[in-house]
Amino acid sequence: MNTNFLRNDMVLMAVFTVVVVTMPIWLAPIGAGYPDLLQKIAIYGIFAIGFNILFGLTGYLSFGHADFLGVGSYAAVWRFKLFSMNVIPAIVFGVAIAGVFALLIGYVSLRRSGIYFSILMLAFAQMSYNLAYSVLTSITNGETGLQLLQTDARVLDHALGIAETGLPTPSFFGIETIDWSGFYVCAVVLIFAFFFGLRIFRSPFGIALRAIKLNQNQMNYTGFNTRPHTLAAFVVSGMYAGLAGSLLAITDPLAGAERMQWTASGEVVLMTILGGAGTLLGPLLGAGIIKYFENIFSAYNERVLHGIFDVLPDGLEHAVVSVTSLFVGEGWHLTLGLLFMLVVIFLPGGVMEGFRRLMKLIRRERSSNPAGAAQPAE
Amino acid sequence: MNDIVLHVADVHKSFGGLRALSNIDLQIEQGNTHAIIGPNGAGKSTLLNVCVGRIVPDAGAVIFDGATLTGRQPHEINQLGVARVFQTPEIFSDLSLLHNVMIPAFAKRDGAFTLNAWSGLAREDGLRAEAESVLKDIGRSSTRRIRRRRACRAATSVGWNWPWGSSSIRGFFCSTSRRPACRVTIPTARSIFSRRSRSGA
Ligand SMILES: Nc1ncnc2c1ncn2[C@@H]1O[C@H](COP(=O)(O)OP(=O)(O)OP(=O)(O)O)[C@@H](O)[C@H]1O
Ligand SMILES: [Mg+2]
Repeated sequence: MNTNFLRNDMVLMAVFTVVVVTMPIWLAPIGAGYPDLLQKIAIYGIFAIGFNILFGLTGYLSFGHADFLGVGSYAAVWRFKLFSMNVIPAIVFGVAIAGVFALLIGYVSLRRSGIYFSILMLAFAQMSYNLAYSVLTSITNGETGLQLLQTDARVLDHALGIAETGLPTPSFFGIETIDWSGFYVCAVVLIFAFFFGLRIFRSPFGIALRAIKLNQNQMNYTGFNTRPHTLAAFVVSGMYAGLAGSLLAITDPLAGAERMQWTASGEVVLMTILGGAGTLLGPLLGAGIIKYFENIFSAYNERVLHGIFDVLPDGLEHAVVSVTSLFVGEGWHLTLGLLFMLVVIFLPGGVMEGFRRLMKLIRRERSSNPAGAAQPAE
Repeated sequence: MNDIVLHVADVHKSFGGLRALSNIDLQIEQGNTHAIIGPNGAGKSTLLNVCVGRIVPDAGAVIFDGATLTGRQPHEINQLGVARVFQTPEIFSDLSLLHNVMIPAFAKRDGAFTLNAWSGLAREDGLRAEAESVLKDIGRSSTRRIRRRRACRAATSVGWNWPWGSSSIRGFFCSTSRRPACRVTIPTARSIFSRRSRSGA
C-alpha cells in the first residue's frame, strides 16, 4: 500500500478541517469574520467543488449548473413546509431531488460535448428559470419566492408536538441554524463534501474521468464505456449543487428562481477558473475570493469613497471618486471582470498555479542560496 | 476449425462509389502473427477499423472467438478482447506514466463501467505492482509526471507505436484478454523495405 500517499491525504484533511473551523478567527482581521459571509463562502465552496468534478475533472463545461442549486433550494424549502423544520431531511431531500434532475438532464445533454453541451446546459437552466416564473408558480411561488408560512403542514413537527412561536426557523435538533450555528453546520458539510471530492480525485473513477477529459475516444478504444462515467460525474456534481442549494435554504429559508439564473451559473464557472480548474483546492479558493470581494466591494458607495479620498484636493477628489465609484457597489462586477481577465491572461491555471509558481521560485531560491553561501567561505 | 480466433466473413465497405473492401474473407488462427500488406489506399486501415468497430461494414461480419463484433460499440469490442494499437502514439498526456499503464488494467479488471469512486488508487496494490513491473521492464521511472513531448517519446519506447516493444507491455496496454490470441499488423513501408534490403544484402 502506498502509505505515503494516504498519510499525505490524512494530513491534508486534518489541516483543511482546522482551517475551515477556525475561519471566523483568521478571517476576522480582513473584515470577513461574520457568519453571513462565511456561510456563503462555505456554501459556494461546496457548489464549486461539485462543479469542478464535472468541469475540471471530466472536461464538461456546464453553463447551467445553478439549475441544480435552485432545485435543491426549492426542494429543501418544500421539505420544511411539508415535513419538518429539521435540516437533515431537508438536505437529504434537496440532494436527492437535484440528483434526479441531474440524471434526467445529464442523460440528454451528455449526448453532446464541448460547446454544444455548454449551450444545452444553458438552455436547460434558462428553461427552468422561466418555468419557475410561469407554469410552475404553484411550486415556486413565482417572483415572491417560496417561503415558510405559519399555516404550513409540517407533518412531523406537528405530530411530535414541537412548540412554535411565530414563524419557525430551520434547526438541527433544536439548534437554530442561523448566524454562527448556521455557519458551523455549513462548515461541517463542507468538510465532508471536500472529503468526498478528495476520494473521487484519488479513485480509479477519478483517474478515468481525467482520462476522458484528455481523450474520450481513446478511452472508448481502451474498453471503457465513457457514457455512464460522464453521467455519474454529472449526477455527483448536480448533487453537490443541490447540497449547496439546500444549505442556502437552511441558512435562509427562502427560495427564489434568481438562484438558477444564468448569472449564477456563470459565477461558479468564474470561481472554478479563478481558483484553478481541475485542482482540489482551487475552486474553493475561487469561491472564497469572489464571495469575499463581492462583499467588500459592493459595500462601498460614493459617500464612503469621499471619506477615503478626503485628503486629496477637491477637484482631484471628485475625479478619483467618480472613477472608482464605477468599480464598487453595483459596479463590483466590473472589478470582478478585470480580476478574472488578469488571472486568465497571466495565470491560466488560476490562483493555484500562482501558488505553484511561487513555491517553485522559493525552492529555486533555497537551492541556489547554499551554493552561493558556500563559495565566499572558501 | 477450432483454432480460428478471428473470422472476417464476406466484408464489404464502400465510400461513395469507391469500393475500399470487397468480399474480404479472412480466417486467422490462434497464436499466429499475420501481416496485411498492400499499396497506399488498398484498404488496410479500413479493414482494421472494421475489426475494431470504428467503421461499420456495408455487409458481412467480423467474428472473434465466437462473438460477432460487427455493430458493437468500440468499448464492447475491446472488452471482448480485440484492441487496436494506433500508428501514432496516443497517450493521456496529463496523467503520470503509471496512471497511463493502470487505466487499461482497470478496464481489464473492472469492465466497461464500475463506479469505483471510493477505493483510492493508493490501495490498488495489485494493479500498481503489475503496472510498475511492466514499467520497470522497459526501464521507465513511473512516478514522474510527464509532459507531452516526453510522453510521446516514452510511449514510443514503451512499444505503443509499431513495431511492438516488450511483450508484457503489449499484453498490458492493448488487450483485455490475458494473452493476445493473435496479432494482425500492418507493417509500415519503412520496415518492409529495411527487411528487404537486409535480406537482399
Ligand atoms: N472515411 C472515408 N471516406 C471516404 N473514403 C475513404 C475513407 N476512408 C478511407 N477511404 C478510402 O478508402 C480507400 C482505402 O483506404 P485505407 O485507409 O484503408 O487504405 P490503406 O491501405 O490503409 O492505405 P495507407 O497505406 O495509405 O495507409 C482509400 O482510397 C481511401 O481514400
Ligand atoms: Mg492506412
